[in-house]
Amino acid sequence: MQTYRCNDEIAYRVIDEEAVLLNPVDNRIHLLNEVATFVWKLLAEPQSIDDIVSAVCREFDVDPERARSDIDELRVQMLEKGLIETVGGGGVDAR
Amino acid sequence: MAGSGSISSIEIGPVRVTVESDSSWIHRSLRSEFGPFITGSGAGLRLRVTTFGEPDASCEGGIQVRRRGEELTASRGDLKLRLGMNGGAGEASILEGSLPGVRVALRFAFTVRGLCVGAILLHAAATRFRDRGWVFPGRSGAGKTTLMRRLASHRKLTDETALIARHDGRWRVFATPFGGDFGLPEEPDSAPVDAIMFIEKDLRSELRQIDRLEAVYRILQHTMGWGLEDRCGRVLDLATELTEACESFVLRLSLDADPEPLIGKRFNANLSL
Repeated sequence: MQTYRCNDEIAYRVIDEEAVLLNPVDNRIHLLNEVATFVWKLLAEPQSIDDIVSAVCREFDVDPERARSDIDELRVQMLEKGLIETVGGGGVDAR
Repeated sequence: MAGSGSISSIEIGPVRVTVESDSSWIHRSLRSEFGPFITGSGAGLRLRVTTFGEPDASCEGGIQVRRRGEELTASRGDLKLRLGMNGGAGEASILEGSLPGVRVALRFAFTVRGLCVGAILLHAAATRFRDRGWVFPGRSGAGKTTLMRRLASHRKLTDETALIARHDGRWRVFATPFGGDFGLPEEPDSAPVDAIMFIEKDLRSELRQIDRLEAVYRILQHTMGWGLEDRCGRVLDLATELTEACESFVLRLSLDADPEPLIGKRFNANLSL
C-alpha cells in the first residue's frame, strides 16, 4: 500500500496548533491550518491515506467522505511542493 | 583558508567579522564603509580578502549564490565569495574599487555568522524611542525610509537592515552599517525590542495586531539568508522565540499619513508599564 511521510529536509514549528514550514530546497515558506498540521504531525511516520482519514475522523467532527476528499487534495499539494514523499508501494507516486 | 595580512574587525552587537587582507584599499574601504563598527580585537568569522583588477565578464548580471555541503559560494562580476556555513572562516576576492562588492561580501559574512550565534539580519528599519526598540520590517519600496523621516521624535537605528539578537536575556535590535538613504550611523546603538511592526503602503492607515503564526511567517519573509541555514531550524527557532517575546503588528501607511499619532497609543501604553 502506498504510504507517505514528511520530507525530513523540511524545518517546521507548531505555534498555537498551526504550523510554519520552511523548505530549504526552493526557499519557500508554508503555513498549515489546524487540520493540515494534525496530518503533518501524523506523517512523521509513514501513513497510508486510509490511516490518515481514520485519524482525522477520530480527531475532528468530519464526514469520512469529505475527509478523504480534503486529505487527497492536501496530499497532492504537499507532494507538489516537496513537503512529503512517498514510501513503500513500489515508490511510485500514484497521483 | 589561512593567510596573513593586516586585519580589520567589524562588530555589530554579538556578531563579529574579522577581515584579513594585504590590500590597503580593502582596509581603507572598511574604514569608510563601516567606520563606527570597527573594533580593536579580532575573532568571529575570519574573512581572508584579496583583490583583482578587471571585472569578471563571465559573471555579469545578478549575484549567483550556491550552497554546496557546508560551504556557501557567491559570485558576480566584482566579487567571488566562499564562506564556511559554520561561520568560522571564508575567502573573498573583490574587484579593487568596488565598494558594493565590499558591502555584499560583509553582508553575507554577517548573515552567516549571525545565524551561527543566534542573530538575524532583517530587511527592516528600526528606531529607539525612550530606550525601547521598534522594528519596522518591510519590502523594498514599502516605505521604511519615509517612515524614518516621519518619526521625528525617534532616534534612527537603521532605515534598511536591522540586526536582532538576544542579549542579556532580552531581544535587542542593533544598528548596522548596511543602511539605505540614511547612510552610516554615527555610532553603534541598540535597544531592547518592544514591538515589531510590518509596514505596508496602503490607501488608508491602520495599525493591526497579528497572531504569532502570521508574525513568524512575515519575519521569515524579511530575514536574510534563512534558506542558507542547514535545515532552516535555527532561524525558525529565532523567529519563533522573537515573536513569543514581542508583540507584532501590521502598520499600513498612506502616502501622507503621520505615523506618530497612529502608533503613539501603542508607544504610550508600553512606556507606562
